[in-house]
Amino acid sequence: MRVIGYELRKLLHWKKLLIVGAIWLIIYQLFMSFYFEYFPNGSAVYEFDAAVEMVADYGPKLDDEALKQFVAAFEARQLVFAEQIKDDVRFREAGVTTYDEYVHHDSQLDQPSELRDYAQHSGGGAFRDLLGELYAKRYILERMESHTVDADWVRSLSAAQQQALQRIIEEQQYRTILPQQVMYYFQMTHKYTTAAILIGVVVLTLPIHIGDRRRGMLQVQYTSRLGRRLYWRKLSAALIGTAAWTTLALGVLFALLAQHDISMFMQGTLNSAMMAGNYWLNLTLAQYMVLAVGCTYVLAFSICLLTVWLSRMTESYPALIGMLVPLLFIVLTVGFNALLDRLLSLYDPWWRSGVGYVLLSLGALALAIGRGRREQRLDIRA
Amino acid sequence: MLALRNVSKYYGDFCALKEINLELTHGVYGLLAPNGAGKTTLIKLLVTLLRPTTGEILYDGQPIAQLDERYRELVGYLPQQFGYYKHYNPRQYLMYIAALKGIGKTAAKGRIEELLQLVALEGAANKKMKTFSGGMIQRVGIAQAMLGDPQLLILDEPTAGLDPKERVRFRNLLSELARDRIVILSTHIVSDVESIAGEIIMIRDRRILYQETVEALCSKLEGQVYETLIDYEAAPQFRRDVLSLSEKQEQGMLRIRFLSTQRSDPSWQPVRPQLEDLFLDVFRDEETGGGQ
Amino acid sequence: MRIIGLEMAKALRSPLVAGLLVVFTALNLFVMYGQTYQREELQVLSSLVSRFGHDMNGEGYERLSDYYKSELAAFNTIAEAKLGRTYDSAAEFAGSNPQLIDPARPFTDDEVELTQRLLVTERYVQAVPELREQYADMDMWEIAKGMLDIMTKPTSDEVDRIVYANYDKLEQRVIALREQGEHLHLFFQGVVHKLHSFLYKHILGLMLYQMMLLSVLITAQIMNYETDRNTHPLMYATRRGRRLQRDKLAAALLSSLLAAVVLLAVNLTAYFRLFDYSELWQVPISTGLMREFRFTPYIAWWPFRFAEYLGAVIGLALVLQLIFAGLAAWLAHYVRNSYFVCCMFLLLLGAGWVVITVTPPGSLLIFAAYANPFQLLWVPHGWFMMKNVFSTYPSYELVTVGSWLVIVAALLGLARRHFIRRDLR
Repeated sequence: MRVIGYELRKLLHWKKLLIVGAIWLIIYQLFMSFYFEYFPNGSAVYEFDAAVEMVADYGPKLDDEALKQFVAAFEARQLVFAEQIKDDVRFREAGVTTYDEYVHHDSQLDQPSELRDYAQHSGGGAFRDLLGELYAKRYILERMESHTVDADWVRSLSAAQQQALQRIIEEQQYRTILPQQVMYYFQMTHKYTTAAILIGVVVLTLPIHIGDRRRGMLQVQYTSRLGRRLYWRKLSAALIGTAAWTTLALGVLFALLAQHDISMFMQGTLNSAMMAGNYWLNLTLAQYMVLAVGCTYVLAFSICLLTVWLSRMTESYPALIGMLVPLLFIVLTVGFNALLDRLLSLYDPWWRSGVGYVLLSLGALALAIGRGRREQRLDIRA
Repeated sequence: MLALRNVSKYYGDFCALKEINLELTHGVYGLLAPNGAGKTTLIKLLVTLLRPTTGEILYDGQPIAQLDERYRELVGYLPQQFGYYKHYNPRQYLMYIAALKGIGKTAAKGRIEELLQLVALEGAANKKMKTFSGGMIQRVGIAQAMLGDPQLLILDEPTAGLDPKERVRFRNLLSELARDRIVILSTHIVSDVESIAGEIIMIRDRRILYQETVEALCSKLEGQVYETLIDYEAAPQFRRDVLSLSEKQEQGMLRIRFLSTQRSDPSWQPVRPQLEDLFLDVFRDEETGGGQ
Repeated sequence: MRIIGLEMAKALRSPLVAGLLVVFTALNLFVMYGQTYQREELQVLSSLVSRFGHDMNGEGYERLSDYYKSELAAFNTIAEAKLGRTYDSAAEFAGSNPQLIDPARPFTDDEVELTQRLLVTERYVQAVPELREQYADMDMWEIAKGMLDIMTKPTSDEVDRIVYANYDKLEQRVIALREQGEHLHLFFQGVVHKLHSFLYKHILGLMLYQMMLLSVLITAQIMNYETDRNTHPLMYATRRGRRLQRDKLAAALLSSLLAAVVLLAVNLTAYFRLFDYSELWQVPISTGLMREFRFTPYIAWWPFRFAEYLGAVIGLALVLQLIFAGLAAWLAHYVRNSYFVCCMFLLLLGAGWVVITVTPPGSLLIFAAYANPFQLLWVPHGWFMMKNVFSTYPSYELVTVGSWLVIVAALLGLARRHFIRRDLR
């Protein structure tokens, strides 16, 4: 146990922690800060506000009764709009008296009309916000009423995918409230946090074997009573260190996420009408977050094991780094795409992400453990 | 008791050691051979860094491969160039090694203080090892080898890089330590083992050549070692006829100590053969495979 | 000289360099193959160019236009025969017949080919007059204003002044460009094929990072070689002594360049084998057809031809490697562990990227912030062209690499002086 403690101290040396911290900061500043500073973003603000309202009024799920109420409320708002533009000269000239007429007003023209321009920009955006709200609510309404999918596209799907889609429609899985923005808010920041975690794991773990080997420590270490079992102690220290760093970074992520209140959407599900995609499992946002965190741990441990394995195999740092950088690159691009971005996505076979994770983690485990076993019998010449 | 039975070590086709048979009971054993003869390979086999290709190594009748950690517990090893962490001080380093050796924290602290005194490093105990001289590093190495109070102390070229004063100090230390243990001292500096070794093991051509006491070895050259004074000019010719063992300046002439199988000049003084003489004789034609 | 060669061998002989070159090439080839499905359509353009040349100012365009009309007529003859109607354009036909094959009266293979060729030709024929108009209306000042307006953090008057001055220069360039008709040359249509960004951002851009990794690793390996193997007490006490460090630096720079050149040569050859640009080497890079999004044309500061532009980009890429290798060598001087050298370099890279996000756009420092070599890595498809408001001026690339070459040289000079004096343990 003490030995694990010593190895952990070497692994989490303050110089390395500083570097890892700096890397995290850079990634935060370049990629993540945007999502925290501008949430919600752009036109999605109206959708978000509407969703907050809906959850407050109807709860996380929209049954038929609630939908009717929503429709009624929506129509009431349309009347408010009609009332507002009643006395406005420009609207009258254009012959627009209701919201629907406004929407159709431009549809015959080649470019956005002057009226639209006016509505968006004049009078401190008096109309703009109301229009934004109406557009958002109409969009939500359309998607809540029925879950339409392009028939051609459906035909191109596999049987399992079609069945899943059927289930989504039959069970009305889409009648929950989860704005895509909220999902992005979590997904994007989680993804970049995971990237920072993985890079940090590599930076912390890579000297684990190569460091001692280059110092000629092996001859003293392997002839002690603990001997070659030191390999397992080092492995344990690496995994513990990885767990600690991962937990810290995830903790920071959730602390940062908390600066915007999205707690009302925790019961919203992935197949919500307000979400852009379709998913195999209709998890709630809370459940998805747990899953995502689990995925991060699996990725972190896998990368840790692979780094430990490679660290034992090489003699020079440039060679080791030359192997780890392409590996990281593949994981952060292809890997993230398949394992995080499209996790549970209906557009991919259901087993794809799962198989990916299993292969990665089992492969890494096999390599690290296999190496450890061989270590017990190897000749140590240097 | 440490026994090697028919131990050979091959790296692919290359043979490093052939059919080694040895029995070691107690006291200091000197392992003498020139560099590259297989000394280090033998040592590494004894400390479990290498596994024999054939044969086995037994400690008290049991194979060390099976004994595993129980065997390593009894071994203290000082490698030829041992590794350390330069930003540690000796205390921290020895604490780490103590943990690897399974020595409890409190016991380790006490033992470390004893050992630091033994190797005369108490003054530098809190200085980082990167400030240490070669001799000081070596002394830390000896301390770590002694940490577990080993029954089997194996030292590979322990005095390389020590100055004469340190070498003397080391030799004295070793005589004390050798009382109830097996000490194997691998070296090519004959004077280090001559005075303290109980038996000398010489390796040549990848096999054990001799395993005998110093006296027995020296007596092999009885009557063949001489000294004489000659002119400097005569020296090159002289060296062609005999094996020169050592040469010294004396009163403007050369005092040469040499080996000759026949006495050919009355001015030659016969002297008592020393271990170094035998070493030079045995290994003089190592490359060409000649010699006695 | 021999010493430099021997030092170079230390890095280049290791399996690391060869291994990485192979891995990178494999990756790049994989990326390239992903786009090979476009080749058929690209072929159509190539054949048009070989018949009519690529200059669509005046006569060239007329001939293309005539050809198009005759092809359309030919198509309509077939359409009439097989479908009973004619079309005003191939696009109209394609719009109502997505499969291009009417099961009732199927087209023959030749006819299908003709139709496909017609579709492509039509796109180009329609694009040219559109471009003519767009470029005639192009107002650089408007563009600058637009970009400054949407900035989330406000700029200041002095910054704005400089930006407008730069865009003024750009306006002059656009006027010249228009006069020369540079914008009206045939090229693989950017909105459809996006080959400019594919070549320069995805392929070359990826290679920039690959070369950077090679440069840093090679440099770390060479500079730290002696200390790593504990041969430094020997090597630096020879007659050559500490001047060896200079040789190592030269070796590191040369090796980095060599590795970069090999990588570029192999991969670019593969690229141009896969994608046939043989008619297009003389096309001006500022042609409007290259643009990939309606409102962001590619406008180069100088009238580069495609081949010249490629040469300039390659040259700049190689100079960047010198800077990266130099920085790594500087780091290696103070940090003798290759692991930390790489970590420090990574932090430098990150700092070079982050600096623009923390520099207030109101201060003139924003221009300096953008003028660092790590920023160049983001936009290889915009080198020597109009891009971000703070990096659009003719000498941007030159100023950036020039000043950084000076900085790196100064840093290395300091390191060298330090090295000569200090203890070597």
